[in-house]
Amino acid sequence: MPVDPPSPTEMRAQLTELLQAHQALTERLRQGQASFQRIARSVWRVQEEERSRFARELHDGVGHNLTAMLHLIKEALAALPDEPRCRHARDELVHAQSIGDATLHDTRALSRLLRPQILDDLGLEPALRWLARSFSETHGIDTHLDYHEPPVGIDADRSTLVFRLVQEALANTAKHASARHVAIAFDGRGERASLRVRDDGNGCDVEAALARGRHGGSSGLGGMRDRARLFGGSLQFESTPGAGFGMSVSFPLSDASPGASP
Amino acid sequence: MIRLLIADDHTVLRECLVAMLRESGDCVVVGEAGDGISAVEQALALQPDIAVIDISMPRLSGIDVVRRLTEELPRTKVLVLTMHEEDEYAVQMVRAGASGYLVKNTATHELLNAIRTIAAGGVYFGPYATKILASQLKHPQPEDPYGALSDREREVLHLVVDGLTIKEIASKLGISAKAAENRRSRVLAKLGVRNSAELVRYAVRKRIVD
Repeated sequence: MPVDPPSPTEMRAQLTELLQAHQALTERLRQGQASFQRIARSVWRVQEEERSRFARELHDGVGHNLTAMLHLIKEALAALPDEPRCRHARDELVHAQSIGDATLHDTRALSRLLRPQILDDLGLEPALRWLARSFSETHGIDTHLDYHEPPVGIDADRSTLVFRLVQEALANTAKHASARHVAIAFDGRGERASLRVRDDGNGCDVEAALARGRHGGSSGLGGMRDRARLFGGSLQFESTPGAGFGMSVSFPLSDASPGASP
Repeated sequence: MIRLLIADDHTVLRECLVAMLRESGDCVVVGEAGDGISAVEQALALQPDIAVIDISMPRLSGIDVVRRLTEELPRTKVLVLTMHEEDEYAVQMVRAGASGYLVKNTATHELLNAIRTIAAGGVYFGPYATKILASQLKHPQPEDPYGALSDREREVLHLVVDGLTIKEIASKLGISAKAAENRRSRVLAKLGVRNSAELVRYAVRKRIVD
């Protein structure tokens, strides 16, 4: 027996039902994404906090003990009479002093590698200035920073985001580029903050590098993009082999700002 | 005698310092503090000539201690003694009002030098900080009152920032102490600052303008 076609009223009811189901699904998806973003951010934040704690412990704890030890060695050296029978003791103390100096130097370097305290103590701009200056000194690559502070300030998570992105971009430049100049520009004056890092080195095939990342190879570039996305940001790489490498990021300065993506 | 307050949360190091200062002959440690809040409290109570302040301290960070002391106790000068060798810290501390900045593993005699220079009304920055402060002085803003200084006044300005006392400036320039003092006063007046520490802060501030 043929089934009667649904009446327009029935069809309308079914359509409404379908639409509602679709809306509910979209809403669940949105909530799922938001909660994923929250969880991913808090994992990332915990990791940074751990690094910060270790860095501080190394710098302030171990570093201070070493400094105190070096002071004591200096005092002992000053107290030793300048006589031949003390020569051996003097040599040993001088040796201990040079080991102490080297260990202090390494401890500081290790602490900065984990997370430079300057970021927590002084904020993003001094941290970027330090990063640019020390990068330039270490690698002999002329590094310029142009910084415009957001009028509303920038929170700790986003400061870390910018700092880590610049750090990663500079590490790439040092590793692959044979560049002579790097320009870093951060501008927080607009609705969305923008960050650009550009070098004049060899450049690379961005698609190939991203594809390597997806297949479990070096995932520096993909990781940078993922981090920017956690804050509703978008990140582009611009490069052609032989013509430098550039990265530009834009992200909203707060979760509620109009530029924030859902 | 120069009356000192030492604020550092690291006890071993603080004791080293106190012992060393006790032997100096012209310094007396009137108070010790192990955190930022107690550093401020003790400074207010004891009004030392110089407060030697560490940057990383519990309860109130060194930079906030420096700010509060500068505001509330203008006659107590602040010498920052820290593990941080990055120039950027020195710049921030000068902005906050410090008269001196030294890294902790510098030699004892340099610390004493710093204390004596600051007690005599000067400022003292280690080689690192001096370099960056001076480099900031070389790039003044065009609309700045710096442009109104004569070459001789600029010379005095740079020497003050380098940490020289009036007497040292006079002998370096081959002029009398009175003439050097007059020149310094003109610099202060033209730039609208009150003393050497403010002069250094002014020097640092100019870079922020750009």
